[in-house]
Amino acid sequence: MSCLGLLLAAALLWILQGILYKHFWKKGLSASVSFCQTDAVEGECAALTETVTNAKYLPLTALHVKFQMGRDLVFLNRENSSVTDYNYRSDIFSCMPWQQIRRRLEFQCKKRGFYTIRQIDLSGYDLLWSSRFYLSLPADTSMYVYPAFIDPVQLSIPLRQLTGTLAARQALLQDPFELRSIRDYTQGDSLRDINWKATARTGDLRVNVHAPAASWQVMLLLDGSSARLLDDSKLREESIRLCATLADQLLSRHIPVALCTNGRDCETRQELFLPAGANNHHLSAVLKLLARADFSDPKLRSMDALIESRFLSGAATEASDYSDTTLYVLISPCQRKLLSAAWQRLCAISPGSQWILPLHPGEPVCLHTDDDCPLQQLYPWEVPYER
Amino acid sequence: MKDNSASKTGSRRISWPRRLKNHWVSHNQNTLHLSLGAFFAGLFAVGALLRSKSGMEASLLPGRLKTMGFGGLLLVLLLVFLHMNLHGTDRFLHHFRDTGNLPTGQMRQVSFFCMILFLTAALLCMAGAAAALPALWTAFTSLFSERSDIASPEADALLFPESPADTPDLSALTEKAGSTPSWLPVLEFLMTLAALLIIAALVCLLLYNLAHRLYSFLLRRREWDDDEKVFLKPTLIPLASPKEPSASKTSKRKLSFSRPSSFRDEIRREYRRTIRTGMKKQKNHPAPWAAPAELEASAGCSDHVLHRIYEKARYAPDPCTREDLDAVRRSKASRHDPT
Repeated sequence: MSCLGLLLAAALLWILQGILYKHFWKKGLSASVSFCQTDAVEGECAALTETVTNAKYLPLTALHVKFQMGRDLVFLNRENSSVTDYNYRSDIFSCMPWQQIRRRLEFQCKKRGFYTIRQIDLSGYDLLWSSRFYLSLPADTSMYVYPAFIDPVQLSIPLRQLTGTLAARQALLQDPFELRSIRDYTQGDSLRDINWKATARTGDLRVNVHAPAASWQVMLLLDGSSARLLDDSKLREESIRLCATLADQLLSRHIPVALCTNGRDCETRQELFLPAGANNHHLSAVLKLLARADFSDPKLRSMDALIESRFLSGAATEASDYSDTTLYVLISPCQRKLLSAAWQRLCAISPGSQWILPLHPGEPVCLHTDDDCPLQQLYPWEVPYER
Repeated sequence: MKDNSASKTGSRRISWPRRLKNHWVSHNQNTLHLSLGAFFAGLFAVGALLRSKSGMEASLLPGRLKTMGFGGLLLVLLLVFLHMNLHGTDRFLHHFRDTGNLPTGQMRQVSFFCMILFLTAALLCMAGAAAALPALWTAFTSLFSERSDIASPEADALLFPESPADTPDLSALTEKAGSTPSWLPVLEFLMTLAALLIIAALVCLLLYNLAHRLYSFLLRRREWDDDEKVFLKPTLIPLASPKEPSASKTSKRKLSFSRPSSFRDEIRREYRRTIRTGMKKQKNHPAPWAAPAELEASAGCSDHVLHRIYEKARYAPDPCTREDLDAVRRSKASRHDPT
């Protein structure tokens, strides 16, 4: 009878521990994943913190924490991750009662983008490893990976030409009410521009230099579509880097920059457009927009259609806002006839606009343009093949 | 859980107990455990059979066999639990052997902690169940036998007449003792109580020390991986949920509202009472936006002391004192009785 009692008690204990773990393993159990920083630049290393809290008296011998994030964030310790369509990470924890464990995972940002982690899956075991339990928890953490900047020296020629054109345009129309500086009188200056007070103070003739009447701005047109047989992401990413570098350089010269692209927001799926601005946070806004831009949508609008609808059509609001005082910079690896035609029409409105054409080495420029078109300002940009 | 220290050193030979332990942990030992269990259960059965035979009543062998069988079975069951945990952990670690940041040290600590508690609980439960089950069985059988046999007329026929056992006459050994003094049982009781208390205190102290040492051993900070570990303060409320005011706190707050607990509250209560009385006399209603001076004007009360001390109680950061309250009460008394 005593032996039977022993066996019954043992069986009961085995069942009871299973029931205990089944019902209480997730009580007070929480797990979170958070990026240590909100933004990083392509190629940089960043870190992620995994936190597991077991706020109860039941210890957990083994706890699997699984989550997925963008495949272009590559962990430095790759043992626990498998990269397919996403980067799937699986880590193992072991928690004592009332214990919080934090683990730091370092990774490299291989590509620009907006990366989020929305869910964490947990699985635990009972004491005798006879049952396995599952739990899904929501997570809300995100990080921007901005495109890397290109060496501005390489961009010096188109940049100088652009700023030169802007300076020349601005000098044509002067604002009589806004004074920029005072200089010596030179032959040909209007008598109306003489600053008599300054002349009396210095004893020489001095004239007012007026500020330009219109504030010129640059509209960056980023085309992510491709007319190639195979989608070339290398060219597209280089275009995005060019766009980011141009925006950075122009904003550092206090030139307002607007951005229009046919890419869609990776979260909202809306077309991306950033109005002109030159404030302190504008570069950050440009970089965030570029990080969020997604060009993988098969229904991506072509750049020529976008130019047509936004800047050439009479009904478009942007046409009236940007037509007179804007220089356009098109960054597109696409060499289609329709795009060339639309670009010519846009350049007719705003002469001096530039097309930066990213190409692979040895690739011909075969744009169908007229000789007398202002599209002469074309800058092929060589992008080496990916090894 | 398997000891791989020898494989790391390569040339070092593994001692046979360690090899045995490794083999026991890493392989499925159901057959071994079943055989051992059957063996000890058999021992127990043999002991029980021998005891049931009348010839072996006086011998110690059946009792020893039964005890050995019972103890062995108990140990085998504990061993089975331990093996289930260790074997499961070993399989898990083997499956995830290529995983980075595998917290083997932490897992060992947690498993040790869990199994200490579980095996202790299992030992107590199984011993308790083994002790309780025969008693329960006897109670059940007696209950059923009473229900079934007493009413039957054949029961008496089946019963054998029993002769009373011959009890030895021990009267020669006993002498007539003198009457014990009345204080002796009291003293004996007190001494027994004191001894029991001392033993209990010593046992408690010993257990406390043991538990404390075990707790500090288990929960001490160990740096076997790069994870940051923090022990939380145990609470009955889950950490994630905000603290809700308990019923006792609410009742305390209600109590303090209905009955002022500080001089400041008492002074403000006195002021409210004065204003309310004045308003009733003047047949006015207190405006919620009114300042103290306006309230006093509409209530027809012109007590400067009350006004000053109320403003202190209402707006000043300094706490009110007993002197303030006394001053308010004196002022109230002088208002009612100007002489």
